[in-house]
Amino acid sequence: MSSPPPAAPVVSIERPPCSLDPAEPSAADFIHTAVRSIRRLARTRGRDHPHIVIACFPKSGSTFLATTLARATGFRPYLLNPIGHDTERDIRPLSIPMFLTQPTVSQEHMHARTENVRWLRLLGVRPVVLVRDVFDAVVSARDHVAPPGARGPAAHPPPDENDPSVRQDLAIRAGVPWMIDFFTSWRAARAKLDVHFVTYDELVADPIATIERIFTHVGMRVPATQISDALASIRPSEVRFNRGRGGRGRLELTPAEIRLVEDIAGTERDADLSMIGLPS
Amino acid sequence: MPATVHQPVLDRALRADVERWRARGVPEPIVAILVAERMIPTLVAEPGHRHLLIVPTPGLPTTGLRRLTEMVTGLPCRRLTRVAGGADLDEGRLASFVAAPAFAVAPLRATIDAMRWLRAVNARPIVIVDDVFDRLAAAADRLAGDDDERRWYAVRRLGPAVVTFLASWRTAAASLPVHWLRTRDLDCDPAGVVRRAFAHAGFTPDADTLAAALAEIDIIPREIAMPLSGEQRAAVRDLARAYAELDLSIAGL
Repeated sequence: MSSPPPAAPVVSIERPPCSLDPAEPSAADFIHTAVRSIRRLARTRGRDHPHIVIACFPKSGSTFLATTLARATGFRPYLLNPIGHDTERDIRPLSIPMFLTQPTVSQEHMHARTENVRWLRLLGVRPVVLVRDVFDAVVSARDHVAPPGARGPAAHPPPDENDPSVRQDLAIRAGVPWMIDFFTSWRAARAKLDVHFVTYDELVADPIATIERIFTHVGMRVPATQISDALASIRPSEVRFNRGRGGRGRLELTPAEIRLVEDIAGTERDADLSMIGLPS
Repeated sequence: MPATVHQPVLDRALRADVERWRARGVPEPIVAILVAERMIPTLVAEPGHRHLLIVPTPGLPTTGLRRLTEMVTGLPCRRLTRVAGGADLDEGRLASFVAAPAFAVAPLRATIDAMRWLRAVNARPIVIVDDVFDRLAAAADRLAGDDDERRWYAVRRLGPAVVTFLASWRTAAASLPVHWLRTRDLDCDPAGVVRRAFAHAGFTPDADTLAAALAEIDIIPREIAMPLSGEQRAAVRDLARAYAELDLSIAGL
């Protein structure tokens, strides 16, 4: 009795030049081939749809900004790294294929690491970088990490650490270096990418003008009425706005904590950190 | 020749998603990648090839380790992290890693996500630790500038990554078979230390090959030029204060 004919392939993908040994199991070969083809796909389809990518400090109003941009344009909110609980939010290559199929607005706590910059260049993205006064961000982060078990990319406190003073201390000792590295990486990335910096204070003081400048940067024209309608539709609870005001940091931190922040900033000799509220 | 997936490999839910993506007009190469992504958990869960995962503390030199492992095991080295020099595991790279015999040397942090994947592939990582104060002083040695400035830079800017790395693996060791390799133990018996570490991961290195590799490749970290000051050491201990519940003495804390 002859064996039944093999089933027809239901999904196939062209192999890039480098592939696994053909003797390997087909599932492994298929996955390997697919993963390796993402870069080629990004190169050919990166400009099929418009994308707005916001690289942001934690607690910088990024959810508010991204939600407003998505509502004003109708673009889909999209995470370029949706699975990072306590990981850095570097671009996850496997998230790129679906990104390519639709207009998107993304917000990520993403440093301008070499590979992130390479992906953004390949995709033709002109990123928006949202930063905040570091003292304000630290105080807001302290409030944010208060629930037991909360974790973030900037620090990895034990899940059972409930002492607010320990959490505050970690938010400074681990969080401030993260924010300085973030800011200096994006300043350096200007050599390779068209980057537009936005501060939290600008965004809160005049959201319409700030958002208009963002649209101009990414090459879009969106009427001011559409922006104001989007802003009016947003409830503070859905964008996790904490207090929505600047200047809390220096008022609520102790003199010793302020000195610690400044000591950490003092290790950065080459960059002007005044945009994030630190002495240069 | 294209790589293909046949009908029986796709379960019903995935087949339905394929139809949905096609109906939405998602281009076929993108459908293929989305299918591949969904197949990764199945692939990595299948018992397969032997792998060696070496996880050095951030900043430890890794070139010698790579060369030594290549010589001793004959396996190719693969990258597991999402970005070069990064600390986060990329599941796409993990899928390629498990598809053929290989080893990796990566300063992975034991994040929730990484732990999920490493448990799925039954990883038996070898975590290499050094005295944290020496590690930061060694990092300062490689920087330019005034002695004190370089050391403060290492403590303030690089210290958090080293301390959170250690804390994450001390936590992870409760649910993953971790072998701790202390660099200071390499001083007296490098062959024994390496042999025990590789044995933990299921490899028995040939004694002659290992001896020849150790004669050729220096994997012992260099002496530091200038140790951290008392104040700098106190700042490192302050960093670790949030992990008081964990025993970090293996790294001198």
